[in-house]
Amino acid sequence: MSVDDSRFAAAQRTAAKRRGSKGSRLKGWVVIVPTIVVFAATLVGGAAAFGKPDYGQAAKKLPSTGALVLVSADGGQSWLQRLTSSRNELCAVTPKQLTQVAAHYDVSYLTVTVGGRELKIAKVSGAGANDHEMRAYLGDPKLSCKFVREGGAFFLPFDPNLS
Amino acid sequence: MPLRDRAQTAIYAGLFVLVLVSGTLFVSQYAGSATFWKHFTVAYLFLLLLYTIYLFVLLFVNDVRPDSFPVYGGEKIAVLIPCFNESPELLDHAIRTVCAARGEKQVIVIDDGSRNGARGQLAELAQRLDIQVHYFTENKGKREALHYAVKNLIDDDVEFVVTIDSDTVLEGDALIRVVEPLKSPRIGAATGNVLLLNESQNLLTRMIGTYYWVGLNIYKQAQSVIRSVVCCSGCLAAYRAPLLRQVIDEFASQRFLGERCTHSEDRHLTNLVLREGYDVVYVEDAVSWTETPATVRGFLRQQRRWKRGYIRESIYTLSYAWRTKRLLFLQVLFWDLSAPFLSFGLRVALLVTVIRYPALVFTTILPSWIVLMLIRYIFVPLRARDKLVGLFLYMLFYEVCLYWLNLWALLTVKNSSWVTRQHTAQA
Repeated sequence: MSVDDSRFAAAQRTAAKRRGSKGSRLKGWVVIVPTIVVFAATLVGGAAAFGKPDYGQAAKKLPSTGALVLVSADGGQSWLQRLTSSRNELCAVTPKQLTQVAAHYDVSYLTVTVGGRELKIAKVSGAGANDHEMRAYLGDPKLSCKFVREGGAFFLPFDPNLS
Repeated sequence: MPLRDRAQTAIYAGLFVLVLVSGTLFVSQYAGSATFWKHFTVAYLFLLLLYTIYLFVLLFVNDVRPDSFPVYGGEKIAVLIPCFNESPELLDHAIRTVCAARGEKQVIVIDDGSRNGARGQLAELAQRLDIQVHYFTENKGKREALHYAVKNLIDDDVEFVVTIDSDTVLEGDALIRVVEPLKSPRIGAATGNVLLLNESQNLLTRMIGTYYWVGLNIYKQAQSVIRSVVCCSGCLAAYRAPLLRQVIDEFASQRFLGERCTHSEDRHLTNLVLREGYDVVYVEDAVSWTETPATVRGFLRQQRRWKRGYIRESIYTLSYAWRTKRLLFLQVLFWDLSAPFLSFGLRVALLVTVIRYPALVFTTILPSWIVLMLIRYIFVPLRARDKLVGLFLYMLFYEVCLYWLNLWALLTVKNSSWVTRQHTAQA
């Protein structure tokens, strides 16, 4: 059908009651109400998890060397690198290396559960507490480290503004 | 400077502040503590949830207690059709369908200085059909055309004035359906449903079809429940004649930040009606058909103009609505006008996340986004299943392109060029 035909056909129509009956519209709310509850729960869940570090995901990717340390990832990075990489890194170290780290830096401990297993992570702080300097201090440039991703919430809906 | 102008300038400046604050909070998480950024994100999500629930409550009220209006009783309707360089076929169709539509009417066509031969065609039509044609020797704009017609051409006994675009096709009873709400003394204006003649032309037009459907059947329908539809579409809008006569001079001389306004005249006219304390409603059964740009370039040109008008007129709404339409004021202040700019930092954060973890786009971001979009626009799968593809396309197109057009529109809000018309004229 050409555009002209469709224009002609459109002009022949009259109030086509496209909206459906009141009953059928109300029935739809049996579906709509639970979905809005799910929507609310998802947004609230997203807000609650926002900014929370996912240590488990990073730990899973690291080799099992006996200990895990959490350091800042910003050593020697440009602002662009800082913007596009995580703030923290989780590194796999040996118990001996952990003793060295504890002797040189301030260390506190946190426990996380990964796959039902409890993991103790040494959180390293103080001057030079970043992966760059820690590698140099331990003399182990091949130290395995993974970025710790933080929970995000990015549902940004469109709102159509008809003029 | 009058108080209203000062208020509008302040609100306009405030929008830049919102963008700045949003961007600064995003950067602050890298410069020091992420606490403010986290609180800001949580606050945005809370606002989004609140607005969504508000929207759903309004739509529920509409389903439980749909509007019913008095039946048309033969009141005289003036139909105004401003045209400028309109395609002869479309113009011919538009005028014929208006003439064939039910209702006691005075049809007035205002040729706004067309240079494509429309003048001769209109003269010919005037001989065969019961229409009045007025010609401007030069292009003065749609505002001036409407202003002239209301001041000089409509009969004294006209009760309602309907404006339609020159490429619009009306269904047989659209005219009487759209004026029926105006029989209620509190209602000052009403607008009708708009369907696309070329929706199936390509993927873009399908996407735009969804955009229209959502804009009309979710947003405008919800606004109608609080009797505060913010825009009576240029395709089909009806106004109470005495009210139109009262505001038409102000309408024609609108200025924003010192510049004369040309586009988004439909939105401003609606604003003036709302400002006078009248209700404005949406009539789903008053149906008009139109064509949408079928190229991305054409659509973006139209959107650029609409978004400028959206910002300008939302600012205008804030300058009066606290006195006449309090719920509308809160809605515009806390969501309609602020959300696009508040979410700037969040959108940058999204971009950064996509760059940082590209795999997440397919494993987490896109799937969760689609699910949330389907939930928030649950009315599409429930009531217009054929528009689902368009919904996904629009969602992606909005993020990649249309959202950023909001920022461009904010920067260039004073620009008054009517780009699609210029290009039509050139074509």
